[in-house]
Amino acid sequence: MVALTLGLTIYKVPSMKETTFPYRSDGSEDPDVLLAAADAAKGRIRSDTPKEWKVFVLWGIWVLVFVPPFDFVDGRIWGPIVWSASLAGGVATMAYFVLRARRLHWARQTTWRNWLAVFVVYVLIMVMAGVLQGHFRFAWTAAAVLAAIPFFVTGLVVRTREERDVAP
Amino acid sequence: MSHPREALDDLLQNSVRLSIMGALSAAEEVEFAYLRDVLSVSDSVLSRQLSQLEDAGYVHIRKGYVGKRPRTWLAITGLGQEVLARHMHALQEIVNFSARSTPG
Repeated sequence: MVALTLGLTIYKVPSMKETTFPYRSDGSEDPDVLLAAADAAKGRIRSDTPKEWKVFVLWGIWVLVFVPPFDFVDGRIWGPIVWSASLAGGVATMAYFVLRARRLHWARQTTWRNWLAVFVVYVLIMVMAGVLQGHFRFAWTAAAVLAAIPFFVTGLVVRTREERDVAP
Repeated sequence: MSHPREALDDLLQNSVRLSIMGALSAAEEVEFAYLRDVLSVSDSVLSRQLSQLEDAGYVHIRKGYVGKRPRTWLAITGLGQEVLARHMHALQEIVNFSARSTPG
């Protein structure tokens, strides 16, 4: 009797991963379910794709926050702070893209030419600010505003492009 | 005028395979383990469905490395994109047709 009871209760336990998929796979799914399944998978991939435009906007904000204080604070004090912040930002930016690329190669890869162009413009403006700082009271503040514009404009362009790609 | 179901692809009538195709259509390449987690299926289920999609020419499978670790990368082919678009359009038409023909 005990053996019979055991025999009735012993059955194959499917693995967790075999059972967690929410849809039937017998080929008879409802069209609504099929559409939802495909859209859910697509949506998950898109949500994991890096949002490059946000990174551009964050760097624009970074420029507006860290460059203007050169007009008010001694460069020997503020300089190392800016270098540290830019190093941390650079590492974070690289990590953001590189870590995601380990599992997902997004349809439109990061356009490093855009980054290079914006960075070159930024460096030129900073060099000009350094030259003009003795002549103008707010040279660094003006330079920050000028240098931030390419970051924001590029971010806006990239965002428009990303939204266009997502549209069905 | 033909019924939209005639545009359906037999292979994509399975929700796991359709989900695979949907996921791959949103990226250039997707890593195997990541896709497995996204779809919440086992390695064996994903492998089996991918083999069928690869045989049909809808999916391209590439073996690669990240550092020293072997990785399998999956991508949808041009044919796969076309078939998926046609299939999704047909499904949408069927859903719309059902909504129109439902009384009330």
